[in-house]
Parts: sequence; C-alpha cells; structure tokens
Amino acid sequence: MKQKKRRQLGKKITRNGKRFGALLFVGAFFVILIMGGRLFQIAGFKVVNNHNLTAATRLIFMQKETVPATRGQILDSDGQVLADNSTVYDMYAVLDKKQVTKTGKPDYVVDKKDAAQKLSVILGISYDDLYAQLTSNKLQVEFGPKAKNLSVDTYNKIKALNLTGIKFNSQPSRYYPNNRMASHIIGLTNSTQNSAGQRTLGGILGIEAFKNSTLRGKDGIQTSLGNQNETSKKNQVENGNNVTLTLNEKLQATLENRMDVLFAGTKAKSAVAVLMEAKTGKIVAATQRPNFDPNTQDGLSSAWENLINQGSFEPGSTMKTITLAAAIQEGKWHPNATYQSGTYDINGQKVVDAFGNGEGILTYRQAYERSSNVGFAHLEQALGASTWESYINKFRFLKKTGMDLPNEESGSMSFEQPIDQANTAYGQAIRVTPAQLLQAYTAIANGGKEIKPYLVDRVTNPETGKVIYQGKTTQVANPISASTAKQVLSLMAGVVNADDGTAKQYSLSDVGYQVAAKTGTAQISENGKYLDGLTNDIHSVMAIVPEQNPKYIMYIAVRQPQVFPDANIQITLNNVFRPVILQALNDGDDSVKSKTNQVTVPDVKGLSISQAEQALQNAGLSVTTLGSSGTISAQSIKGNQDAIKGQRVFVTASGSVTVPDFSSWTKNDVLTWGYLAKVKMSLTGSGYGEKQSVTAGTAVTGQSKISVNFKERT
Amino acid sequence: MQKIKMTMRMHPEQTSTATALAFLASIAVILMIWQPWVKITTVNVDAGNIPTEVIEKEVGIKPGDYRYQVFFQETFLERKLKKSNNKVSQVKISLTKSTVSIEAGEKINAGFLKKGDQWYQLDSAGNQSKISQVDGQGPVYSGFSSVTRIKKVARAVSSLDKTIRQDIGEIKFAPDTNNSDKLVLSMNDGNTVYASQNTLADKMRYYAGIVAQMSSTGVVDLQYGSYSYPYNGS
Repeated sequence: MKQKKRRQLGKKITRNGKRFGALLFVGAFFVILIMGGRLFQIAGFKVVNNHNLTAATRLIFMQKETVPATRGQILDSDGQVLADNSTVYDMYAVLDKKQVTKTGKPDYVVDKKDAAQKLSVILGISYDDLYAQLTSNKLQVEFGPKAKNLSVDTYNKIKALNLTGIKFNSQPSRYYPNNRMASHIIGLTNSTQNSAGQRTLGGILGIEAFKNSTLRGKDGIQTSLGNQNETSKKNQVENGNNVTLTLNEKLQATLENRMDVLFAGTKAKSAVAVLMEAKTGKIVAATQRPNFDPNTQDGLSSAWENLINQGSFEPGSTMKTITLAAAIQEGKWHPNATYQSGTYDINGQKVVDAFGNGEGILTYRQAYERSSNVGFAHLEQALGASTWESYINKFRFLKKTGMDLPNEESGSMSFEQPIDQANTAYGQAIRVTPAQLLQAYTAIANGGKEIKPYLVDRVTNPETGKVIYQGKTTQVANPISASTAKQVLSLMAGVVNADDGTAKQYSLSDVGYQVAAKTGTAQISENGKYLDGLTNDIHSVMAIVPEQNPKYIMYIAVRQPQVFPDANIQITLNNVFRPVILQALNDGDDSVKSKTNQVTVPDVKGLSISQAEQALQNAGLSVTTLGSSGTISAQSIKGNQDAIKGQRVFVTASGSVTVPDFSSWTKNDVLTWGYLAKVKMSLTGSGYGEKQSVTAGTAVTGQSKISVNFKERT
Repeated sequence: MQKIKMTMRMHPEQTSTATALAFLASIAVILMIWQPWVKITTVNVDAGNIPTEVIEKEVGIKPGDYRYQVFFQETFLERKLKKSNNKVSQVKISLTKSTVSIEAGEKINAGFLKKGDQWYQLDSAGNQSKISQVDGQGPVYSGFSSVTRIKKVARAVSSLDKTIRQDIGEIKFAPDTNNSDKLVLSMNDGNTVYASQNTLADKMRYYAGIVAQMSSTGVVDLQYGSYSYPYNGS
C-alpha cells in the first residue's frame, strides 16, 4: 500500500529526484559507455576473453578429434636416447563371412590352414591352437598374449604375408634401446585409454613416472567440418618435453656389466650401486639387481621397488662415519684414548664386536678403522642421546631427500631405549635409503656442505630446443664444519691405508689416488629378530675419491649373498668399484662436464665482441661476427636454446663488416651471412665452401654479389 | 502524516543514493581492474630465433606504453603480429599487472630451393612459395627435381627436433647404384650425413648421440644401420 502512495507523491520529491536523476545519468553514462565499447569490440573482433565467437559458432557444427601428444624422450647426458616412442600391435582375425571390402573381396580369413601355418611360425603359437581358433564359430577371434604387443618388426612380417582377415589394433608404446640398462631409473609406462577411447602412455616407474606430466605433453583437439577436412587448430597439441638425465652412458654400461657379474657370482637377494659427483650431486651411474627388461617387462614382478630412494634398510657400519663426524664436531673425539673391545653391556643388553673378544684394549682410532661397535657405543654415550639425535636430523636422515625419483621413503628409527640409541651409532635400529646416505656423505666430501643427489639434468622443449628446467646443485644442510669434514676424510683414508683397515681392498694407491672409504656389514631384522650368519647380512661400502678435493662418491651394497666368490666380500665389491671409479677418474673433466655434443647456447647480447666470441667458443660453437666494434645486438641462435656442438652462430655488432673465409661453410651458413650482411650470394656446387669470388678480409661495402663454390667432403 | 511523509521522502533518496553509489562503486571496480593509466614496465618476448626487437616492433607495444593499449586487445594484437610476420605460427599475448608477455611459436621452415634465379621457401608440408630474400634459417635443397620427393623430405625435416633441424646446412638428392633414395646432408657442425629418404626422420633423431661418439668430423652413414668414419685425409 505504502508503495502506491509513495509514487503518487512523486512531485513532492522532485528536487531529490533531480539529484538522483543526475547521479543515475552519470552512472548510466559510464555503464553504457563501457558496455557499448565492449559491444563494439565484440562485434568488431568477434572475440570474447580470447574466445573467438566465429570459431565458436563453427564449432557447433564441427567434429572434435583428440590429437594425442607425442611423449618426450629420455636421454642420457651425452644425448643418447634411453626411452623413445614406438607402436605395438594386437592381432585379431575376422571370421565373419559377411565382411567384405568395398570392392567386394572377402575381408575375413579365407584359407584357414594356410593362415594358421604361416602365423604359427612368426608368433610361436602352435598350429593346432591357431587352427582351432580360426575354425571356431565366432565372428572375430584373438590369440592370447603371444599375439598381443607385437613389435613393428613382427607386424611388418605378418603384413607382408597378405593374409585376408588378419587385422591389427595399434597402440603407442615405449621403446628402451638399452633394454635393462638403468631400468629402475628410466622407469616404465603403461598404456591407458583416454576419454576419447585412444590409448595414451603414462609413467608408472622411475623418471617416466616422476616426470610424467612434462614427458606426456598435452593432447590437442582437432576439429573438422563435415567431410571437408578443414582443421581449425584451437587446442594445439603440445608434445611432451625431452628429459635429459645426469647419467653417463659409458659409466653406466661399465657399472651394469660389473653388477651383473657381482649378482650372478654372489646369488644375492638384491644389490644396489650408485656413483655420484661429489661436488654437484649429479648421479652419473646407478643401478640395482634384480632389474627388469622394460621392453618385455621380464623380471618386473620381483623388482618393482627402486632401491635408491625406496628401499630403506639398516645401513650398518657406514653410519659410524656420521657418528664420528658428530663426535669431532662436538669435541668428543679422542683418537688415542682407549677402551675394552669385544662386548659392552647396556642395561643388560649386549653390544658385540664383529671381530670377537680377542682384541683386548683398542684406541678409538682403531675403533673406526676396524669398525668396532663397542667403541661407537661408547662414543654415542659420550655425545649423549639428544645431541646424537640432533646430528641424525642435521645430516637429514629420516627425511626425504627430494631427489628425482617417485615414492621416496623417509626411513625410520627406534630411539627409546639406551641400547637402541647406541645401536643407531653403528647403523642398526635406524633405516635409511642409499640416497640419504649418499647425501649425508656429501657433507664430508664438501667441507661440511651437504648437497642433494639429483638425476634430471634438464628438461627441453623438443620443438624449440628451449631449456624449460635446469637441474642444479642444491645445498640442503651444513651439519659440520670444514675442519671436521677434513678430519673425517683423513680418518676414512686411514680405513683404507691401515694394515687391519676394513676397506684396504679399495686402495687405488697403485694408480696414484687416495681413497677414503668405510665399509658396512649390517644385520637384517625380520619379524623383530636379527637374522644370523654372513649370508644374512647387507655388505656395503661408501667411498670418496680422491680424499683431497673429492670428485666422486660411490656406494655399493649387496644384500644376503648366498655365495662368496672371493676370500672376502669386500674384494667382490671392489670388482665393481675399481673399474667404474677408474673409468670415471680417467675420463677426468670430460665426464664431469658430460661429453655431449648438444650444448646450450649462451646469451651473448650486450657483451663485447671478444667476450661474446669467447663465450660461444667455450660452449663448443663456431662464431662469425658481423661488425668490428661496439656490443652484440643480435645472435642467429638465441641464448638458452640447444644447438649441436660445432655449429656456427652469427653475432651482429656495429662497425664495418668484412667478407669471411667461406671455406668449409655450408650453403645455409653462407646464405645466413649474406642475409645479415645484405650481400647477394651466388652458390655453385654442393657440400662445403671451397672457393670464393671475393677474398676474405675485403670490406663488404661495394660488394653487390659474392660467388661461392662448394665441394662435398668424403 | 508528517511522519509518514518524512519516511516516504527519506526512502527513495536513500535508495537512489545507494544505487548511485553502487553504480559508482562498480565503475570504480571496473577502473581498478582495467587500470588504463598504468604504464607497462616490462615486455617479455619468447619467440624462438626471431629477434625480440622485431617482435616488439611488430606488435607495437614497448615499455612506457599504457595498459589500455593492450587490455582487452590481446587477440587483436596477436592477429596483427601473425599478419605482419610470416615466420610466426602461433602467438599468445598476456597482460599481468604492468608486464606484457608475448609468446610466439616459429613456423617450421623446412628449407630453401632455388629454381633458376628464383628462391622458394618450403613449409612443413613441403609446399613451395616464392621469396625475394633467403635468410638462411633452413637447409638448402639441391639436386631435387621431383616435387613429391621434395615434399617427403621437407616433411621428414620438419618432424625433427629444432636443434637437429637447424644444424642441417644442405640436403642433396644424390642417388647412386646402391641406393636410389640417397640423400647427402652437409651439416653445419662439419659432418656429412648419408641417409635414405624413408628413414631420414627416424634416424636423424639420434644424430646428436651418434656424433658424440666421433672423435673428429667425418661421414655419418645412416643408409643402412648407422656407422661413422672420419673424412679421408683428415
């Protein structure tokens, strides 16, 4: 009711109405202005928030098709392909006699005997089985696992037989050229169906899983209108990126080879070995046994676990180095003080030395060299449980390292009872991964700076060559001082040098390297009880080489060897250590910098001519400068893109341009130069530049045309 | 009555003020989002080997310009760039605060071909188009006569990674008695590759790895299998 009255009384609020009107007008004006502008914009450009309206209208009448992205490759540090794409085929046979081709010829299996005969040879399925399937009264038959996942080779062989009615479904697959090599690191994919019913690959193990999203790329959507195959590419397919690992193929091959010998010789339950650059954290070679063949998946059922960062275990005496480092850092290390070795009683529970009761009084230095548990139980008690625990944390045990492999374990520890606390000082009652152990030892190798191990050197876009991700050295902690680290290294060298040192087998003094190492023999607990006997132990070694200015850290562990092929298990481990470490050391800086011929082009814009030339030459590229003064204003291959070593990069500066010596240039390099120097080039012959019409060094001004003659090199 | 009048008079005024304020507020909000007066401080260009300056010039946006010149006009600018630069296949321009990012994808240039005095450029499908100037950003084709063959080779070249593609200096069709599909590739890094037309794309993908094994420049023969040897007399 009131409402009505109010409206009738409208005249009395004219003044206010005016005010309101004015405000409304101003407001509406702006709104109309903005909306009107927007309308014109939409009408003019037919685009709303980057959505093309014309295209959207067309889309309604269009068919969509998913364009699967090509999965990226996995490469080693030299650019060798470790994982590539391929296709596999599932075979089936059409028996339905109604199936004919467009031209009316039969499109089902006609001569069943002949087909069964020929296919049985290729597929390795018995003739009888095949024939029985082909004569069944089904419309279409498959032939079990042996006719699935056929390689391109097998597919081509069967295709060549020209059998009617034999058909294939193809699906993408992964091909691993090196078969078992580094299988747990490279990983594995499986194929799954996407929403459009197409098969795509997804990583399920190793780098394939860890870097799945970047390897995978993004499927595109292609649209077509009716029968006209017009393609308006709206959702462009984004192919997967290439992942380059830090692995060095040559070192990896040697390691694989030696680990095969070790594993076969010892009949162990499992074994793992990792070689890492001490200063960078790059893992240059790593493998484990048992392994599997990613192409056939042979051996996969018993080897799902990646032992580097998933298989946590009680490391045993390699942990003593950490206790030692803590004791030195805390001023609790008195190498010449003595104690009674053999057994030591903690609240009724015994700490026992592996070498037995006959060794009597030992110094603490000997306790480390000879790996005495009793000595380290005393050290732990001198440190105090909470101080020792703080070092376990400072060295970043019980935490994931975050290295480039999936499903990492963080490890665990029992630390309630004094006996447990003592146990952890020599690597029992604490479970760690090889990755954590290696990471902790980097602090000893690098003057107290602990760095993270890593495997992915870089991720690059295969189409543009642009580096999307660059792996780098990451310092994660600083648990001890540089002087402590130095002392620990020298004590580790003692374990190799002392006559009764447990790591003397690893000495490289004959070839001039001082090795610093610590061995470990750890008991394995199953169901709360430690297993007995040497065949139930984990035997391991951690070595830093060389002691002065360390380059590599290597860890090898073998679990439950059933056979001891040598007098001492450390000799068996040394048969892996020695050839691999020598190869690494002898390759010298080459292998540290990875001998790749795919290099990243430095960005030299803004640098002086000499600086730019130097930077490009250091990267392994040839340089040709156009100009004689000033700074670089352009480069023909931009910075941070990949290029092949030896390729020519043109850089532009200011000042006068002279004609270069074109000998051994390719045609397109000559053309590029001509384009940049604004000179017409006339090319004859083929191959590499041999003769030129204008002498090198002549100023370019006044030259309208330069002829270059090419000749092939053989 | 008076009281009622008062309330009746008050109400519309309050509502109208509120409405007006709401309008002004929404305009203020729009202006806050639009921020036409803000100056652009950075223009990031990611355009493969096309120089940054060229892209900036062709888009016509440089640091110091105002936001209103870009805001809501990204698509227009994208088209403008595509039209003015025939090397660009895809563009994405985005504006965040005072930063304009231009991402341009380079069109794959499969190479150049000379017929008489006329140069032609090959696109990724192997189609030829006349050009007045050769910039050298792609291999030179020599010895070819069949258009189908050129198309096939151009497609194979286009399927290669850019890193490898930009290392090919020249592709010569050079059939011999052993191989009627033989191609000779003069690489910019100094190696010569012998390849077969059908397997060119598959095998060249491994080029980076193969040459890593060579101690000096030489011939990489990919016709059958793959092996390499240094040049004679070098």
